[in-house]
Amino acid sequence: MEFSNAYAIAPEFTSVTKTAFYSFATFYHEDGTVLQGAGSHSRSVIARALLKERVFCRLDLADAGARAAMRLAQPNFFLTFDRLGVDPFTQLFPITLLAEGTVRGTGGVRVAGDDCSTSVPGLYAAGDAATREPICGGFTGGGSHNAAWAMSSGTWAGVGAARHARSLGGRAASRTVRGAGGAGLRPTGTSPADTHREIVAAVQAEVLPYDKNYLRHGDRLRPALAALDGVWAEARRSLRADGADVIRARSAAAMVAHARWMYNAALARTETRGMHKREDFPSQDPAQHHRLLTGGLDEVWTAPEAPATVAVAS
Amino acid sequence: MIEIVSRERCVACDKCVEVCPTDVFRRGEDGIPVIARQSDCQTCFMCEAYCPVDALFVAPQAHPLPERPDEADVPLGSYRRQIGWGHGRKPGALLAIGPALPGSNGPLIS
Repeated sequence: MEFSNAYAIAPEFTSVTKTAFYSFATFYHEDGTVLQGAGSHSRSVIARALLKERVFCRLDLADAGARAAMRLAQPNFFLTFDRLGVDPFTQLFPITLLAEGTVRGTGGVRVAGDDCSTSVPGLYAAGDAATREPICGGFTGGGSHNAAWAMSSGTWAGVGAARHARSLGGRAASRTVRGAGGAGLRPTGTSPADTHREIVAAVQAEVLPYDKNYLRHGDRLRPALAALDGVWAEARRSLRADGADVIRARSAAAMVAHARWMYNAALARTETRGMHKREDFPSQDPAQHHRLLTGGLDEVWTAPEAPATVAVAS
Repeated sequence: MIEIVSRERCVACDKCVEVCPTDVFRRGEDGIPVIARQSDCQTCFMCEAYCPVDALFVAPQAHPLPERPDEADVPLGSYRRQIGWGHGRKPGALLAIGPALPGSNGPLIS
């Protein structure tokens, strides 16, 4: 889960995070001078600058042929600019970096079999929810390992789930089941409250800032994790919602769990590798050339992958 | 975020209600969708792409606009035109080739 901190470039205050065409970009300081070293593949420089100032961008390296082809190739990319009234080839525009979590990151639920089964019987994982570490390690771009994986894993997981359902035969509808969900569904305390929006905001405060999750350092990861542990304890004790908000409460609880797995694994990986950058451990360590598995809810654990380990996520 | 559901254009098919990944719309009593949870909108433009009569407008900003724009001032249907979705149009996916990225070999096919 330590490789779940992908950040993508987007125009400030917007949502479309298609990054390929920023290969044609030059990035600028607020004062109009070039931000040296910044690039589509050198986003740490941009993140460091964004902590202090606004950063601007212009796709000034694209010639007329490239510009025409870009519009046909990715109309979604230009939708934002057209509606803002900005010509990205000739005008400077402010940018931001948006955290994409496991969407462009590679962490996710551990896949245990070729049919995308997991360590939970009957549960199958696909797409961004499933780990992509076995196919692309600690870094991935957008299309190939994500879009192709979405389609292939979805197909495999669907077949796996259908086979599992069929194997149950007539028993499927008559099994005795017991609700196992805790946080967000069955609070342990006596005064439940629907605080899912506050919980989401508390998670965002610990996982979105560039100096916590992107430019990582143990001195900043540890207090962030401590805060998230506190959020989890509170959610466990009191979070509960009604009606359509049940799923929102459960999603909020899942975000807390995810964030704690991510930072536990990030603290355990005392090196810089892939998208996991530790300012206190800036080099790659050949002795850590293995995957980390993590799991647990009230108590979170992290361990190097070993054949016999049963894991929730990686 | 989603800003406009045009009552004049909407045919109450509720496709937008179905495709929204974050359940932003509620089906109104007359079938015309209501923007019930605007703050949950992820600005993904999916509802616009699926609207068969170009009745929706999603602003590019990922926050609500201070004032709802006037229907006459926004380019209803422009996104579907660009991606070639809709009856009689050539799907944009058939034209989506290139360009080569700086420092790469060969065309980018995206």
